Amino acid sequence: MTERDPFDILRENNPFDPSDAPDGESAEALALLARITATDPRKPLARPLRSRLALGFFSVLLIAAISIVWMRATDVQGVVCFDSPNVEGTRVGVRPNADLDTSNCEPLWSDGVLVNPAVAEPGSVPPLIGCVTEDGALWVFPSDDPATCEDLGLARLESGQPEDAILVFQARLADLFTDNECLEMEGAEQAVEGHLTELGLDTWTVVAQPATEDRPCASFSLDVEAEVVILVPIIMFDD
Amino acid sequence: MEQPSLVGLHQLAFPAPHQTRESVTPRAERTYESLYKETYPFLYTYSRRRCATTADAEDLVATTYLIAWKNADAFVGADFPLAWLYAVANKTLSNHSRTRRTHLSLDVWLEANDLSEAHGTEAIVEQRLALEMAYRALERLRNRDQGLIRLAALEGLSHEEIAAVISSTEARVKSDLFRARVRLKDAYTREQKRRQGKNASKGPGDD
Repeated sequence: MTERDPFDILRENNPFDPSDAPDGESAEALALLARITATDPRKPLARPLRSRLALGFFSVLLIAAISIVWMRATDVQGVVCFDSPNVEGTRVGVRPNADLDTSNCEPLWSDGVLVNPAVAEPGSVPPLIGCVTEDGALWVFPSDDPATCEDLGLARLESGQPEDAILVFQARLADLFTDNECLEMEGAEQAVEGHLTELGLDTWTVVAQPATEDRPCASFSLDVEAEVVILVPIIMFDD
Repeated sequence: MEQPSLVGLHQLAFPAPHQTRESVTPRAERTYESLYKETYPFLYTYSRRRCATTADAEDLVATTYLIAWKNADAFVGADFPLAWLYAVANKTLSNHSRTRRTHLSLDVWLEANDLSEAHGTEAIVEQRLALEMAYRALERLRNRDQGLIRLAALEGLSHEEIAAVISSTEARVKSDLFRARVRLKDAYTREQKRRQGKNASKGPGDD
């Protein structure tokens, strides 16, 4: 049998060709476009668009995860506050304060952003329970039932438990990049490495892409699975 | 002010594996709709290669564009919108694959290349066997290696482009992809030996 590189075999037998795919003006593409653009991008996903990929269930996880990768540090959302003990309920993402616990959601209840008469009078804060998702996000539900997290398939965040180092790290990164209008790459790298050392995240590495003249400021993305912080150069914003 | 993508890389080219890609609309003229239409066949093909069924691929396309809609500023402002979409789709799949296998089956792959059992010439039989072994070898790799191989071999992306998709660096992609190809070759060789051993143990008339 002739010796061939399997990489070339796979490449030469590529199963699908973009020229065979429906183009962007096809009926199916335009129908999907119409459905998508009919949704309010600020609201949670509507049921008709929920898919076999469990879109609703994953959407907040994905948006939280992807926002870390693709958005500015100001948009990192490590804490999500729900208006009912239900992962399908109305939810609000907040940038966590220094304490990664349920107190992050209290202002939303007291200010009337989250309202659910079934759990509390409007303007008052119900008992809150924190649960931790597989990706390390903190989801906070109005409930005094200790079994809530377990019922929802999540881990319980116990008060007094050591805080998850990665959650704390995310919060510190958010503060670091929002407290500085333009953090230069070298300073950013040192600061990030300092936080990793403090939090005992010894297996993490920092990869800094070189800044350029038109992109002098640093921002970040996280690859939690690979334990890498990637610092990317961005432009300076004139707000 | 609109927020640009965090990915500030240099100009990339995205030649499609089988066709010349047209130039992307100038940034100032971009809208979500214009980028959607431009990128649709490429994202569709990418999804079709990564999912077990057409239905799952269409779900992945819908999910990805919905996320793009919810993050329209980042998508429209991205230096490389297609890489942005691939990264979102990649992330969706990696989050989902913990609960559900999402790979194109070998049968579909063979069928797409007219290499199914129905075609019997010697050259096609040999090609089919080679693809089967390469497919099995790919399956034996860890997920990250598989992802790199797929992006390079099937999507035809350069190291720099792959780095944009997986939020890594060109240098790291280069070394990781090199190692992944070595592992793929090892797995392929083992698959060859396994089949040769299997054939040798068969006597006449065993088929």
